[in-house]
Amino acid sequence: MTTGAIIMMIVTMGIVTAFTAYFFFKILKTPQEKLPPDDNKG
Amino acid sequence: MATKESWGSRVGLVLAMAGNAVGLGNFLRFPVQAVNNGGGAFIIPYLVSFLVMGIPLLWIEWSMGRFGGKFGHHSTPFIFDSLDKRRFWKYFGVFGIWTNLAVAAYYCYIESWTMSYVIHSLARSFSGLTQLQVANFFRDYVDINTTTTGIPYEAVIFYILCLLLNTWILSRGLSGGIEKTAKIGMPLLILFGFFLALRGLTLGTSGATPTHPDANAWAGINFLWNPQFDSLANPKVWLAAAGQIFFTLSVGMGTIHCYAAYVNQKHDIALNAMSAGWMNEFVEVVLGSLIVIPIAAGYLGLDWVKANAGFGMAFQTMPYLFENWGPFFATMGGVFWFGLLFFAGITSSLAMGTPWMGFMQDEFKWSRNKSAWSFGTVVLILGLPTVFLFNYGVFDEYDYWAGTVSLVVFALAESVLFAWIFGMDKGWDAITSGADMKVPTTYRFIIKYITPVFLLFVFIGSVFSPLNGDWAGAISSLMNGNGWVLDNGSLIKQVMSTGLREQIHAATDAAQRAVLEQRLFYISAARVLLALIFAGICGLVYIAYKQRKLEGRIS
Repeated sequence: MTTGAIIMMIVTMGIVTAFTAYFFFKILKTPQEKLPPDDNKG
Repeated sequence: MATKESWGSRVGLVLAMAGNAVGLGNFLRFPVQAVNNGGGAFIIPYLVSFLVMGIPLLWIEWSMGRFGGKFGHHSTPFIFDSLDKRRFWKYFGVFGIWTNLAVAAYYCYIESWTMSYVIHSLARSFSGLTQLQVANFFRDYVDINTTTTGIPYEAVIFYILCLLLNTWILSRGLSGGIEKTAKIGMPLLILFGFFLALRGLTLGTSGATPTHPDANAWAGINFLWNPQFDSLANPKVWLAAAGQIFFTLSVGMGTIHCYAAYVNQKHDIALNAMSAGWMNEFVEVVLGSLIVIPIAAGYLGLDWVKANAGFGMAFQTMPYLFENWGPFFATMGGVFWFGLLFFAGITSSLAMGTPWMGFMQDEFKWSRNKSAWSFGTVVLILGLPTVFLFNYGVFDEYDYWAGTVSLVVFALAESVLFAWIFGMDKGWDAITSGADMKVPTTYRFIIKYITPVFLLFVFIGSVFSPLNGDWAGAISSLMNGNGWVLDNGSLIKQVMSTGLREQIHAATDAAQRAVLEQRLFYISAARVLLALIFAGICGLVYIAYKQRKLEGRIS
């Protein structure tokens, strides 16, 4: 594999994994109280 | 009738929304698009498209959905209607139901192949078959006149079983059906994906044989990731990247609006949208790039992959390649691969059922059960032509109109409606209200100007696509007064079925000509059927509107 490909792959995968993990852990850290939807009037 | 649906948990909602986005295209379409569009360079326009078109559309659709939910709307016709006084918007919203019915019709068919192939993997049906025999196995499977197992109409039976499963889960509701499926399916999908990606990453040159001495998985990975910056100047690459973002995020379909319509107004949507969107990117970029291409290049060589990269590899090639792993791991590889595709498929097809169900429940007071089974019935009626007439191009016709053109038209309309008609002040409030993250203010500008312009380019690009995607050549030809030569894949030529008509004209053999003419007939009939369904939904929206007016429920 070329150096360019290795750098491109690691950087892209690193960025995507970091953002995915960051946002998902933020979701896990802030679970929302269970509220019904606002539309029960139908 | 009161709508009692709601999400059980925030994680469940995010996983369901990610499951909606993660589909077969993450593993089958993305790597093929990358290979066909300059390898590593493709990732740059792809990520730019995600930032300036994907993320804005996610926020637009989540916020539109939650806003509409405030008025009791759970499908796009009346969600759109609630954003502007002009009443015609609700007919644009019809795309948000129609697309899902039409796409579900053929998507469930692919999903049924994955179900069937899990069973064939367990039954070791591919053991001892040559590459050609495995490819023919699939050809026989989709040809309803032949059978691979001795069961007549196997493809039809699996299609109906798959539809029944989808309908049953939908009838269990949001938290009891869709959310539970996502909570099981998404972790399993990622687990299966890790196993296969690890194999793709570590295969190296160990799969080389005297027949394929150049086989090298790393050459496949290298080709996917080696940046060829010169291709960035090619509009074809940008259009392909933008198109992939559409398909992968499930934007422009109406499913995100529907899921978000069940979110409480006090709850966040900005962070939820980011989490679901990035999860989809993780599955696509990290897992999707390390499975099909490296494994195929690892056994058959990069040249074979370049020449044969396509959707069919999943069913026609992968089972043969897994056989190199020995009986136990070949079975495991098959179950993991087709299981992964099945979970990717079902979490998306379930989302396609919800806009119709939401509409029928809201407007005609149908029960959840009744609306779920009516969805199954409509999809079955629409889907059977794709099963029986698969070899006549009906499947591809559905995919082109409902799964490609419709998404761009719908997304363009909703971005204009949101940013310019509803207005960015109210729109920004709709996005940031209750947000658990700080939404970068640059997105105010991006949503208002960049996203609609970007979408317009994508639309124009598909309408006037030049011959062989050669934009530079077409522009220079136009400047020299030689006109603009359209590709047969352009929207204009597709409408006229130019490619097929040229084939009919060129056919010298009478039998071949008759087959092509039959194909043209079935394609035209499929278009009529799709148009009738669209008109039918418009009719239902009109009736619902009149009913709302009578009851004084117009918001």
